[in-house]
Amino acid sequence: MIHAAAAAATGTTSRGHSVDWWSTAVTCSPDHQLPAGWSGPADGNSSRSGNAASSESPGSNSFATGVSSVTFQESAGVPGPAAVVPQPVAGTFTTDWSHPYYFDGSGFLGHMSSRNDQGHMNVLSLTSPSSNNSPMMPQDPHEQNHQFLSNLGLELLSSPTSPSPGFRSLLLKSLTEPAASAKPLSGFQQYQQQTMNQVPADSIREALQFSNSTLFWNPSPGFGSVEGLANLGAARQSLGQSRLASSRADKSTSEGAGDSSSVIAKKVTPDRTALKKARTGTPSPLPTFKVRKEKLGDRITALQQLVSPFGKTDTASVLHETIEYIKFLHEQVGSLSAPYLKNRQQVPHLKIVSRDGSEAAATKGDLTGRGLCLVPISSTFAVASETPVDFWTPFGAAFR
Amino acid sequence: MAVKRTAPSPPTPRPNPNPNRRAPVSGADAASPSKRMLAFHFIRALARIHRSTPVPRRTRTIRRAAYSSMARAANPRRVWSRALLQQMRARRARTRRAAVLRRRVSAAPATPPGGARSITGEDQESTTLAALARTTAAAVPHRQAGEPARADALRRLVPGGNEMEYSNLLEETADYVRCLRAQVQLMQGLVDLFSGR
Repeated sequence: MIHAAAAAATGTTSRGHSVDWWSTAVTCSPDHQLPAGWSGPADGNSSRSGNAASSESPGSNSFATGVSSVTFQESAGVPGPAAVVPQPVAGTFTTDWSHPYYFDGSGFLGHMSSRNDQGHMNVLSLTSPSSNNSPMMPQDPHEQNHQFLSNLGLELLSSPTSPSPGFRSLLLKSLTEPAASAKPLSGFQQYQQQTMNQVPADSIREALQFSNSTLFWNPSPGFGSVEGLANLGAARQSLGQSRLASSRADKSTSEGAGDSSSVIAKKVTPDRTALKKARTGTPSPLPTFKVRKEKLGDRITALQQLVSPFGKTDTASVLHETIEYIKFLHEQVGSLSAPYLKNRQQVPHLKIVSRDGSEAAATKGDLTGRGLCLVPISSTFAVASETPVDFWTPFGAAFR
Repeated sequence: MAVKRTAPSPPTPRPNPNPNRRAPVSGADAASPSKRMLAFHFIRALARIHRSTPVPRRTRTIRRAAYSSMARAANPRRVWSRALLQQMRARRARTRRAAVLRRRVSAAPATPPGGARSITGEDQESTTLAALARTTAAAVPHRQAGEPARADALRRLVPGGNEMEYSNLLEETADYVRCLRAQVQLMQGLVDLFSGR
């Protein structure tokens, strides 16, 4: 009872954050009512996340798992059709890494909504590793595209070791079949252009490697251009690096502290630390002398920051200030340990040399610098008539 | 007044707007010594002092207690804290011995050899200490050529500064200044707390 209520409460509260973008994404594509028979995507998703083989796989895994965690949360809260909806979104994640431009323009929200457009094809690509070869999307306008894509994915997967010209011919064949009847979405064309711009023309050798990597379908360049297809799988590896680099920048800007960025950052930082270690490991020409001088300089700077942050930074003045400061602090300790008067009127029986910017006494100017203070005569009567009370008595009295 | 030594926490914090007051309780700096440790040691020492020491000589005792508590709360790996504690211990032993000697001398006015022996013993200790200081100072006039002239004044100020190298001296000075500042802040906060603000 209580647990259920708490779980529901937490679920709703946790969902409240994730639902914000999720609901907008879902509402953006209302036609995303995939049939329940699409258990394939779920398997594809899990298998994909298991197949971490490529360079970007760790990032993709974290990202996918991050998203999948969100989506599973979501699915747990919303039963039924919504359970199926998250998968294509999870699927869209890996594909979208080829379109980092989307991250720039629309941010996460727009990205989700835009990615949902390609949700269909991505689901298709996901299903290709599984036995589900031809997923049925009755109400899908891009049905032919999906078919084509799934076929292509299958081809790529099934023929990893085919010779390059043969591969190309295969690709060409599969390309030309539905190419005539292909009806790309406006969004697809967008993707096309972007990925075309982004993907460099590469050799087919890299296309071969595409099949080994996790299932990732770059839908746009496939249409009507051999180059695009070759680059499809083609620059998968190069894409991986470039994507990492670009996605790093883009994601860090758009998503704040996302999982992928953190993973990427983690990947980068070990290199940096390794570099740093390598650099410090190399002995300098005069090791003891130079290192010692640097150390001294650093320590003098630290002292300066500690003692007089807005003062001079040369060694002599810093040392001078330090000496004065230490003397002042010693005097403070001595005066604070002396008995105080009741009416909070100090009688400095020690000569207090106020340091610049130390206590509020500095504001009184010259008088305080000489250990004097302006006080109205009326208050001096209290001083004169009072007997010094041992100030620290309350301490003993307090401890009962 | 019977004073029981209760838990050494600072006195019940009333809603004091004084920023200094909050520092000793809540602040726990990583760089400077933990303010809780400072407060703990100092207040425990204060309670002890109130119980045992007569009034006229409290100032000195409190001052020494402040330094001792500061040294105890500091990182024991620091040279200055160890040196400071050694200093306090030696001074305490010396005063104790001096007090004992004085009592002995006043109680038994005879036995000049015994008195001489003990006096010379005490003198020896003080002289050995002074000699030690002199020898170390003489042995370490300038550890490094690049060391400025002010460094020896710094050595005199920082406890245990005589035997240190210049680079270590700078580091110890920084730590010492931080601890001193924290101690002064603590004491100032306590004063403000109990002065009725």
